[in-house]
Amino acid sequence: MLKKIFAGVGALLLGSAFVAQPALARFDLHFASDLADGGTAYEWYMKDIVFTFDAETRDGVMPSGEPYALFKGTDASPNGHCLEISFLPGWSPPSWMQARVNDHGTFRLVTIANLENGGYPTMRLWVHRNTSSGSLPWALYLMPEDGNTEFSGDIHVDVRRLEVSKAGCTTNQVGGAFDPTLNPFPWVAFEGNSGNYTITKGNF
Amino acid sequence: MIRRMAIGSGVLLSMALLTAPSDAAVSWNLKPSGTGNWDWNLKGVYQVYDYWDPNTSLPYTLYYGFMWHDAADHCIEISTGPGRFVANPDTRIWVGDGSGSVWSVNDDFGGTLLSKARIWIRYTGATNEGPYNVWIKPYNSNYSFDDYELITTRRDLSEAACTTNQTTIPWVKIIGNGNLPSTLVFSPNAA
Repeated sequence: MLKKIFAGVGALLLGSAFVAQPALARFDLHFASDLADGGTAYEWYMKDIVFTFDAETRDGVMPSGEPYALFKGTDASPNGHCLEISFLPGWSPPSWMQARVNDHGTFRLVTIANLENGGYPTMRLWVHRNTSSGSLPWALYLMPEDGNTEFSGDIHVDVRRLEVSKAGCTTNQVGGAFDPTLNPFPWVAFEGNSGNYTITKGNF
Repeated sequence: MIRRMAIGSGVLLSMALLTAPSDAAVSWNLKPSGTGNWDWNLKGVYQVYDYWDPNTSLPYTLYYGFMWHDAADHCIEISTGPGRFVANPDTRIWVGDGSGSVWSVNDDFGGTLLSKARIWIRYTGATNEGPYNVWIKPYNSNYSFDDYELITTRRDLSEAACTTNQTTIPWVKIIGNGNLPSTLVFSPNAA
């Protein structure tokens, strides 16, 4: 009897796990861009990175009460790097979400994304430790819309690495999913190092 | 008895959730320690097994991608780390040639239960995209419900530096031309 119960509970858990998790982790090299420019031989595309907001796995709570999850990193490379980041609804998404940056103590808004109707709102990130030494920490605070302090679901993120200059990444957007018939994507740039950094942003 | 078992299982699950660490940040680090200026790693991506392999009766995670014919060759390092809920998952990395068969590349890396492998991906003369895939499985069914961290590191290395010139990290070359199966070449220490 015990064995049967354990097997039953196990099967239930296994079934739940299979249903609740992303289908696959995906890393495409030289992604297909059916819009502008196509991409280069060193570009890549990673799909469905999951960010969760429940009390056990989120990264924190904003002073105004909304939960946040971080997409962050440390840059020790002297080269500039560009990412194109698209937000998708998860299994239990908020209607809207936003990305903010902590600019010397002030949380500045980079973009607000509507996740209803499937949405595919996109932004760009430029990270460049443009100093001779040190490292540059950067972070995007992903969170639901203002006032949604009880949110505990998830969102998914697709990331494309673009092999472009800072201008190509930000003010003069080329490559990636950029569609010249649409408005340019919001962008944010982190430059400098941990001791002296600047954050600039545009198109929002 | 059944009710007691169900309650017990519920309590165990609740405890597991309550004791999970809180730092869940997904991190994209540029030039992580010991790598070059164009290298990066992606950490903080946690997985559970979401596919089922009837041949081995084990679940697996599919790490899957396309190599477009005009993409450069790439060296990708894949490793597993402790999960958010399971501190010491026992994982194993496999690679497939597209025919449905998979071969193990690494089981216990460096004396741990975790896994690490390098993949050199090269598609030559292809006229269309060629898919590659990596499977991550538990070592056996005792670990089927473990979660684990999936860490991806891009290494800006030559084919030799990525593979034959080092003997520490097991590697596999996935070489194709867009038609399956691809050719797989394994390091001597792949197992």
